[in-house]
Amino acid sequence: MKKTTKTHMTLSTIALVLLMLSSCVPNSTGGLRSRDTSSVVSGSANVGLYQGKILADNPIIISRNATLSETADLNKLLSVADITSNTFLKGASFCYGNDFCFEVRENKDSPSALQTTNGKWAYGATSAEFLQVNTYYHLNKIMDNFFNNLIGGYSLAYTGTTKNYKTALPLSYKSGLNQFSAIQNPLIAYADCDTADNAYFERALGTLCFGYLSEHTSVKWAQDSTVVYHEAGHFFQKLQLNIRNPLAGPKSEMGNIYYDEAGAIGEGLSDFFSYFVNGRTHFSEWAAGRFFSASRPMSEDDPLHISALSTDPDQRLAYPTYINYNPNASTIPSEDIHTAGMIISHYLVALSVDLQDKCAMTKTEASNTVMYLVTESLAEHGDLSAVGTEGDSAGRINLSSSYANDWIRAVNPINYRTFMQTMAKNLLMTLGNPSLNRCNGSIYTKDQIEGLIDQYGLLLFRTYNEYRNFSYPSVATNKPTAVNSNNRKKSSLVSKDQLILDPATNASSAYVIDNRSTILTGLSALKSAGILTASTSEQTPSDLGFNNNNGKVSPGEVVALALNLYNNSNSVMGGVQILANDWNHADASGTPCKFPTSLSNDNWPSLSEGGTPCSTTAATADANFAPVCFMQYNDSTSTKWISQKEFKTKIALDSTMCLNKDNGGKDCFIRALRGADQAHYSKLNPKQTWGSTMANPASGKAPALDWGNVILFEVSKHIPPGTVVDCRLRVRFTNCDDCYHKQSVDSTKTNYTTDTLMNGYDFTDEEFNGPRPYKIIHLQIPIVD
Amino acid sequence: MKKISLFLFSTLLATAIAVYSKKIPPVSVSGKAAWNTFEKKNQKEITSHKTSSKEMEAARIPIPKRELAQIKEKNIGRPDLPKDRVYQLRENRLLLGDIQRADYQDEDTELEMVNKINPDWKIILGNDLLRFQEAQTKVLIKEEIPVIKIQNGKGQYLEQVVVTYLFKNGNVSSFHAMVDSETGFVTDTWDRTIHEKSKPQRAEITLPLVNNSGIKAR
Repeated sequence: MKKTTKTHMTLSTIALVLLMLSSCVPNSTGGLRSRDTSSVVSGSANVGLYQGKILADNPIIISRNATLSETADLNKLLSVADITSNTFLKGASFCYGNDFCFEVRENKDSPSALQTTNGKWAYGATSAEFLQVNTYYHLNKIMDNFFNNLIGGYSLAYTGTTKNYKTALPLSYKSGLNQFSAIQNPLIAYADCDTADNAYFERALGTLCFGYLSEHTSVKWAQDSTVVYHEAGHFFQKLQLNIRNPLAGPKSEMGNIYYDEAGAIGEGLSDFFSYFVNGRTHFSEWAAGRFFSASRPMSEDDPLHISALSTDPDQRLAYPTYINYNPNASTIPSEDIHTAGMIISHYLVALSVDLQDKCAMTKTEASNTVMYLVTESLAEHGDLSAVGTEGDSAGRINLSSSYANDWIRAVNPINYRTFMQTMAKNLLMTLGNPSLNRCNGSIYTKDQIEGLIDQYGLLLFRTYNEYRNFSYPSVATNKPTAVNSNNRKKSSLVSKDQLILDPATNASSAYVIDNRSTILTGLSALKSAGILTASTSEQTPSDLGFNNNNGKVSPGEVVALALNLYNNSNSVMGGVQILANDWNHADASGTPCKFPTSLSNDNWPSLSEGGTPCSTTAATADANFAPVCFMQYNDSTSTKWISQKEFKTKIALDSTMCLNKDNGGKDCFIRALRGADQAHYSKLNPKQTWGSTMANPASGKAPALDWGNVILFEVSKHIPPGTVVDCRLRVRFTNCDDCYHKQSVDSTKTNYTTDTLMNGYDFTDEEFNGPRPYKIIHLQIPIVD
Repeated sequence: MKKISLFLFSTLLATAIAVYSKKIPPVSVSGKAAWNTFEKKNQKEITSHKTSSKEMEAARIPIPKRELAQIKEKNIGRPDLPKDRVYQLRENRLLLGDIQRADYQDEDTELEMVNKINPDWKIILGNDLLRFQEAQTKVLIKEEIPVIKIQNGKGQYLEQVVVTYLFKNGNVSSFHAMVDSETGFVTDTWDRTIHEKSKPQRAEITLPLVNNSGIKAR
């Protein structure tokens, strides 16, 4: 009897185990494909336990066939690699420390990661399972490289708990990185995403999506390991930028989806992530290159480049000349963040090569060092607590924790100048510091740092700005290190006064786009992308019924304004930015103020026109943010410029009729919509407008504008027709000599740090809220019914 | 005979349970309670409902099992914060901004609030997000973390949310947003999606053939 019971128990246990095992295997109706034995590579006997078949690089590289057909048998290109001993295609179970918290699924319908039943991961190259295994392998590889790099970075930055230099890496993460929670939930990669002609990183949901090519449906983005590295690179950039920010709350990011230099640098860095893993200087020969002519080189000696480019110091892919250059269509100007990012990827690769030479590093050591310096630089820029480097206090960077988001978004964003200045500073503090011995018994000298940066046209700063807002005279000892001006051979700095409105006879200063369907499309696109943070007023109809397509600004409309800017210099201008955000150009009551000539030659409005003297001190209290537009008011004796609030009182309009009912009428009649309150032009050629710079040489036609090129204004339906509005816009460009640092009258000076007037010092974040770093452009806009 | 019967019975029982268990969808989306869908039916009507599992799938919103467990255990109203960090809370809301000025966690510390909590903030938000969208566009909103942001010594009630647009053509766009708890308006956004499109598209905004804007530069 006892034996019978025991047998029964044993059988029941076996049955229950069978039950448990069977319940672990997802069924096909659940969305996960059942194991298709036909897809298992024949000869899988060569595949050991926990191993699988992968494409070690993309098919073009493995096959050494640049014209490999989409119908080629990729099974012939597969190799065996260690995958995972996990049952599911997942990294670590927990998102703590530097664990690789990620998993790979087939697509959005897949409820869980792929599971192995025999401990092997061998599938045919055309199967969805293969795509998942291939994605997992390369994702795991880059995770491994990145986190090891981060751990290595800590050993460079700290000795015990002592900082070796002014590092941005937070000490709190140092002890085994066990507090390092980069992500709260696992990163999920969809290896066979049902998205045509696209691969993307969805930051908010923490997902990577690798789609397919619509005209070559057998070609998948996940077949190309460089694409996996590139997209994962965006994920790591989020982490690098926000390593000093808490997991909860707003985050810093590299630009928005339209053209700006932060976005371009983000794309270039993602390309560099591919080099960081595979050491190759070309991105996506297969998925983007073979079928779309959209691959990207990372070195000037790449055969895809035009012959004028080489690794010769005088033939680098220099800023801003090549910011619009697309090697796949080199004669047609292109305003695109992916191609504009090539300047940074080329520089970082060149720096890696230079470190191998000057510091006797291996290729891997050099690219690791560069990646670590990128992490340092992004960590400092992205700090929304406004501290930036360990042990410093708030207010050093990004103004203050209250306004940091606006500063990194628009007022003092990452661009080619600011990023390179921080990279240079980090190079100088680490490889240039003899006491740290990071250059294998040598040092990477200041002249070497500046020399290579200059080859790329990026020596656009006068000092290294180590102390940022705490520079002298804020702290008497904090005098930033000067750049040796003799090293500035290729980098071209241009005065802001050379940026003007088109001077041609009968040329337009600005264009108004008020076509209803065009603006509706824009509002829809900008809002759904998360760029437009402003909510339009209730008085603006959701069908934009007041938009009349007459090319003028009328009551009740939402309009796009495009400035017709002109480069009056003999050098190329890069990174033109137009700002229409609130800024310090009125007194506390909102009355427009006239700047002293020491701050600006704007000279508007005169006292007789209603102006009041501006304070000479930079300020950023709440009261120091005035809307960009003022109103013209004619009383019985004179014409004056007054605030919108005062105009509301003058015409006896109730506050409830304002665009914004809640701020006392501050922007009652016209406002730039937040998020669409800045515009960018990638480049202006000498003596040209954007239209002529961007024109296709063959057709003479410029591309149409994009939403990143225009500013959106909302106009109250209660604004009286006939009113004239003055919008005091601020413009600047990246290689401007007096937009980011104080400019000396004596341009021959080489050592700015001894200057008591602080010429050459960067403007402080408070000063960026005023007029001095900008060219001011007034648009006087008649309101026409 | 008895042994065989017992074995057969056990096997049959196990098989039956196994078959039954396979009919159950592999992942329950009970965690979707935190998600709401707003749908623009036409230019005048916006409806809302709890997000369905089909919508979650269409929007490619992953629900890791671990998160499911957390959501099930979640005490609604309590910030869903990472467990390995020390966060400052007040009124069960995460404190952000200039929080070093005083011990705001101590609810006896006076804190003037610039706004109130409007129970309809999410409805206002849904309507605002869909205002200029085409009919049949959906927006999925997930409440993540209730926040109090301190600025200039005053507090503002905010809600951290995830916004996911689901367009008629199947396209998806998502981002994080901070929303004013009273007005329902977005104050900040981040975590926008980054694309690697093989055919980048520009908006194609054309300028008027004749510029008669009357705009003058001073």
